Amino acid sequence: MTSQALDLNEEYRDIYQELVNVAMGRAADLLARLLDTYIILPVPKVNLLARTELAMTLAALDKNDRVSAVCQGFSGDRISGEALLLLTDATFPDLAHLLGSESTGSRGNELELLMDTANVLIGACLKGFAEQIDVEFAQSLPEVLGQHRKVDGLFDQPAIPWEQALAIEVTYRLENKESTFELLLLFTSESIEILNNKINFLLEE
Amino acid sequence: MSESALADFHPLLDVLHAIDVGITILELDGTVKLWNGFMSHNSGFPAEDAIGKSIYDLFPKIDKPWFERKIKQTCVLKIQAFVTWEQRPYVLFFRNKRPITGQTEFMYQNATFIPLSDIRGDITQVALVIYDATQAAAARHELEDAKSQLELMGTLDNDTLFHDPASFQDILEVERQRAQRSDLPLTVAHFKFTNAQEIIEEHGTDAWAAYMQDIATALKQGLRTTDIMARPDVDELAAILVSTDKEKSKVFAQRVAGTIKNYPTTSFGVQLKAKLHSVPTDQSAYEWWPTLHEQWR
Repeated sequence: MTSQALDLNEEYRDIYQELVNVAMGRAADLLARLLDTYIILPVPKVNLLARTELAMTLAALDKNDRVSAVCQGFSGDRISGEALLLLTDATFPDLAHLLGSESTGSRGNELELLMDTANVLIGACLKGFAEQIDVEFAQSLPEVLGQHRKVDGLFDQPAIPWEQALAIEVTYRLENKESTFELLLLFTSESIEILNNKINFLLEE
Repeated sequence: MSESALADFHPLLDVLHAIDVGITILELDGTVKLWNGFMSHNSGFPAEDAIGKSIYDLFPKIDKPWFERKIKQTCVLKIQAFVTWEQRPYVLFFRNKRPITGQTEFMYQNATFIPLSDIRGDITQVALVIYDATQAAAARHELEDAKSQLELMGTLDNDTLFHDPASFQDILEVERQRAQRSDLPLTVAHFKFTNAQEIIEEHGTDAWAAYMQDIATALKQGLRTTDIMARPDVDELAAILVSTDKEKSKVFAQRVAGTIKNYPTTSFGVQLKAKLHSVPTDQSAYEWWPTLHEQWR
């Protein structure tokens, strides 16, 4: 089959969606065990994103909301990208309740909460995704992009001149809670061809 | 293991022990199974002392519930757990590798918990990898210090580097509220160079600015760390004296007046007036100070 890089047709879009769905399904079961709560799984959105559209994709978050964001690079098998987790400030109390209940009591450490959440959500989703396409991702140390900032201000001109990326967006909701998190898996344009080949291989099996 | 695989394996072990990264393998209950060179050097426990012991016994001050939760998270989700120094400065207390010139007593650490499975795929052990992040932390702290210094500079008077009028009022209000809560006296010592206008007309604004700069430098030497100096106007100085009543602040005012009077370049023949005000704690400083200030114009 010829390369499908930078051209995402319906078929591939559906497959990516399905891959993440399955990954999340597996992860959700584990997460539920860890967090003692049920996580409502949405249908992931798959898009090819231009650089300028990155902030727009996050439009699901109100522009005026204060958010905190963590990013984590991953790479393996010539596939590379970044996972991005965004949460609105309103989410913190719910999170504290979930993660904090079994932690060291009144530490009130929002940064720790943020990192813990990022760790669990990004880690679980990436692992599930990687397993299905039979690769192993090495993850970099997570980094806080910002805390309590406006969405607009989070992505100050990255210095790397990327043009397009494959974006898989998942909006989680906790059962009986208003809180949502946005998880964004971004794959570099160079990775797309390799990913598509992996998928072709899956389809042939 | 075949002979060649073994031959490959041996140097790998050497690297494992020599590498400048901490590597330890723990059983799920915290029992140490592997302890590399970095861990020995920095903890002070040689491998033969550490292996077989509980990590919680080796490091009694470890945040045990947190550490156990990290292990659990790693095992249940079968994913790596990352901990950065920003989140908590260190996982295991190690001394700074620069015990003499270092900025902190301890080593800042980034750490990763990695799940390790047995032949059947069950997670039975966890690797804890520790990176020295002291340099990164120091660089960040320096940057932050420089930033806050810059922010502060923005609110300082250019000549004296005392607080400018706006920042003076902000601080005064904060101190007033504190005084109200703590029920301690708060006094403002207010100084006015009554002939400043004539001096400026005769010698120019630059000469006056230079004079204020010198006076400020001279005054700073006699200040307590709690005295807050400001320049509310071109020809004025003020000091916020916390936990000081009017009576005690007389000493301060006399010292300031003395410094100014005895300053060598008083060829200007400056005339100084001083007033001491007890700050009323039940009135906002934003109302109180401008009224008072206006009265002395």
